[in-house]
Amino acid sequence: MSQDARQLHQLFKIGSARAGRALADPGEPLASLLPPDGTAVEAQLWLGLGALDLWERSGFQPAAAPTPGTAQAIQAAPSDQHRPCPARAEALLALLLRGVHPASLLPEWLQLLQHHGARLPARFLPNLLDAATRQPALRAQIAPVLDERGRWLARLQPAWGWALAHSSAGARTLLWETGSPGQRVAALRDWRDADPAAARQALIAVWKTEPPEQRALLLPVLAVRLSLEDEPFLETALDDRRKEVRTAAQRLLAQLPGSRLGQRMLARLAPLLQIERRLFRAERLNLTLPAACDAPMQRDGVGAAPHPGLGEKAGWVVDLLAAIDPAVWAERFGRAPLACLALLEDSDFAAVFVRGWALACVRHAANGVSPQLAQWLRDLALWWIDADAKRRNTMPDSFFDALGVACRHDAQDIFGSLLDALPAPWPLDADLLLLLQRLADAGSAAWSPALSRRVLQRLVAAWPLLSGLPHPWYSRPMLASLALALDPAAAYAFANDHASGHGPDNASDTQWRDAFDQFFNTVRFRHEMTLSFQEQA
Amino acid sequence: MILDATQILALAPDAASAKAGSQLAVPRNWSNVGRNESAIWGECQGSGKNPYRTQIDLAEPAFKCSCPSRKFPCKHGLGLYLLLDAETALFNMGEAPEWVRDWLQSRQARQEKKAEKAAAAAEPSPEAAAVSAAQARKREEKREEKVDAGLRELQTWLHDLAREGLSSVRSRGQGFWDAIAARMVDAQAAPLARRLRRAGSILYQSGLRDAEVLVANELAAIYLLTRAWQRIGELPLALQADVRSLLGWTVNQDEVLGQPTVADRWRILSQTVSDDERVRVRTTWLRGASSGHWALVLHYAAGTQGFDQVLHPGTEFDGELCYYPGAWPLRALVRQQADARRIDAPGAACGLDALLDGYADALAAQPFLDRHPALLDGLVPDSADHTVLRDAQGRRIALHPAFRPQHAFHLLALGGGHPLTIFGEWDGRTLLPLSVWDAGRLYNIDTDFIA
Repeated sequence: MSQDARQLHQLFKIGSARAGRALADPGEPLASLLPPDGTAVEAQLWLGLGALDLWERSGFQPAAAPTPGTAQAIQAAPSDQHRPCPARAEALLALLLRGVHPASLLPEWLQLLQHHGARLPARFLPNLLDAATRQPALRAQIAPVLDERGRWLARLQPAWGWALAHSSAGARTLLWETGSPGQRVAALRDWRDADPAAARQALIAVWKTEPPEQRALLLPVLAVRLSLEDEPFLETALDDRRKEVRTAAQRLLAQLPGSRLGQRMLARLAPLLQIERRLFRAERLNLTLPAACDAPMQRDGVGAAPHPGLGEKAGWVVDLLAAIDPAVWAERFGRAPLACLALLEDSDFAAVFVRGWALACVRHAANGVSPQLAQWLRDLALWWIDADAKRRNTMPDSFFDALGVACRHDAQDIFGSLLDALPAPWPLDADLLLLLQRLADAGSAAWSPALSRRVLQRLVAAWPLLSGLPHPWYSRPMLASLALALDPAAAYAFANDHASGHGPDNASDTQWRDAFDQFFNTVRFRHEMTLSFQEQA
Repeated sequence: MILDATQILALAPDAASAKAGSQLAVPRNWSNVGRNESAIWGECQGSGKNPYRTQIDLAEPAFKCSCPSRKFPCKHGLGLYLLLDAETALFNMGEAPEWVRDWLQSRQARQEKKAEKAAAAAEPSPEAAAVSAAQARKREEKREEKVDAGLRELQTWLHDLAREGLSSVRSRGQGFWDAIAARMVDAQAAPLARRLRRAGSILYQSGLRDAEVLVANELAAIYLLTRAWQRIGELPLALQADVRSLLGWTVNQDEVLGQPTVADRWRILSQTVSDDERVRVRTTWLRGASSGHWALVLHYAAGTQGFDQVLHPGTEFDGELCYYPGAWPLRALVRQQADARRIDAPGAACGLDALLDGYADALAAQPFLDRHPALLDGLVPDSADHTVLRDAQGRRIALHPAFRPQHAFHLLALGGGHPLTIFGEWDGRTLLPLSVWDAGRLYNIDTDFIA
């Protein structure tokens, strides 16, 4: 801004009445433009401001370029390595980001992109980096499709630093040594994934000096690629002064196959169990409750937390069972899991065993689902389907999450057996609808075409019963979850085949129509998503 | 021209319609769909007993639906068009049903009538012309008197403001500005009313560091305009037209369409939609591929109505434009539009120096001009200061305060540190980017970036 202009702006701010002085004589060229003396100061002020504004705008002088070296030069981003995203898929991403379709489909879109070997469209990088900054669950899917451009961009915004954690071992070490607590946990997890032994050593090296809160945050990270090599360190952590640290160590050891903790638990429990052979009646599993919970048992985590609906001593037995690989029992009793469960038919302790075995399944499923474990999960679920409401309640909630994960990579066709076991009027059973919904949630976008068709056949067979219900309270969320889990191509073909004669036409209730419409819309959009990635980019 | 899904969704009057429309675009919802060379139609089962009859004249496109929705186009129209995009095979070529034929015929009849009326208006009888001219003159004189009085009052107001000083009136709040704006509405100088209200809101709401300087410059520009009005007879004819339009005189569209036409291959370089007191304004910038002429096309839509003319950024058409009269003509109407297709280049871009020269020329011809279109190449967003672009020589180009900070990151992401070609509006000090050309594609910032 010129000197003249600054003076005029100053004068306008304080007002000519207060300034107590006339306008200083403007220099050329303004002097010749302004009307001669005799014009009021106010008019001169406005004319002067207007003329100077025009003068400056028409003769704008850009600031000189900074001399090289002083300014922070931008290094241009290196070329991307992945292929570009197909145009149609990019258009669908825009619809997702604008909220035209539910954001819950975004993870599937990202998965398809990664599967296609493509990178995120550059124009949406800031939106997705922001989204994953708000929802850390998205990061694992966004990081692999960022490519060079995305990582280059993430460097320019401190909040996007998480996207760089995967970039190099050097950056990881830096974060581990100097990062915030959250960043350190992420860095350790990353490290653990790459080199479990080195990551454990790094943790042991700083263990003594870490504050207790920090120890409680870091120890659970060892669950990543957990192995028997971690056992000695975890055993020492059982004597930690912080309760959260001890609990974390107990959990990790309990889920570690072949751990000494598991063997100690088995040694404590085995003498208390006995199979009773009865005349003309089925065999029964008997349990003698333990007399006391001594210090070594407490150290291993027995009696740490109460179990709802069970007595104190029964709770100890659940803790013992939960720390033992369920495969042990099939071997010890010489029968399949379902037969083991049959031993509980008229036992007073059925709830104790079911809960303990289910928790053991949950813990051991964290290391991957072995065939024996899959059998246990399936048979426990079959037992649950057959059981009455009171017995069903003994099943811990986390069991269904583990079951869902197992169904996701369903080598043993657990899901198929469950489907076959559903009793005919299953749509009237709210528990079973909820089970289906939870399995669908866990299996998001991963069901095979064959499995999808089987589910849909069961669904269509149940249509009349479903739409006969007065309100779609339970089935509506189930339909929404199914729409996300089914194989899109199979579901789309099925939806088109069965569009007439089923669903909306004989469902008069508008709530029902909405539920069906949403189901079909989601299925169709997912089908479009898969197709959009098949186009040649 | 048949639009693609993104273009169809751009026709939606609001986000809810876009969503509802895309959900309706399922074969299940439709029956009796069909098409001929110019139109498509279908019946959609809604909540009522009878299905809604939806039809689209693809040429414009124009929509018609028997549903009671007041939105335009309604969700059924959008749904049917999206269905055509997704499932073209469903639409069999065939004879249009009666209800479609009726509509197409009535549309044609209406257009012919309109043409006749225009022809009739062009050649009125001498007596009728004399009478209406006399009436018009009388109305005109009355209005000029009103504007005259209003602008004198505004000058007094500005003199008083200069005497008291901005600092001391600041505490009076927005009401102080709204009061003088209301006076300008009474004086039939609506554009000034809008500018004065906005000056107040810059002062109180923008939070800009140099808000006082911006307000002072804006008021000074208004002052110059009032002086120009008082000496309007001394101005060149073309500039008179600019002054009158800035004070609120509108030019009849038919009159504009009577101006000489400019034929070219018109590239649509950007489009923004803004709300202007209950009316939505769509601003589209075009540039002639061979002439290099710029053109600004404004469309207005009330409430939930959509915009009737399809101008999609990133496309070009062969056609004729008519410019509004003015000393530096920019605003125009599309007289004829044919053969739309995707553009393969944005046209000749220039550097900062050429832009500054051109802007100075424009100001010399039309000093009331505030913003001017600019297509600049070699621009790199500054990685540290997100309010600045740098040109090929590293000189800083400040971004307009209205440019959203999120979009600075979108520009960075798109360029990756490499130079970009950016189209925007230059106001003499800052650039407001409106679209970007990158890798053979135009990104309209308002619609292609998601804030």
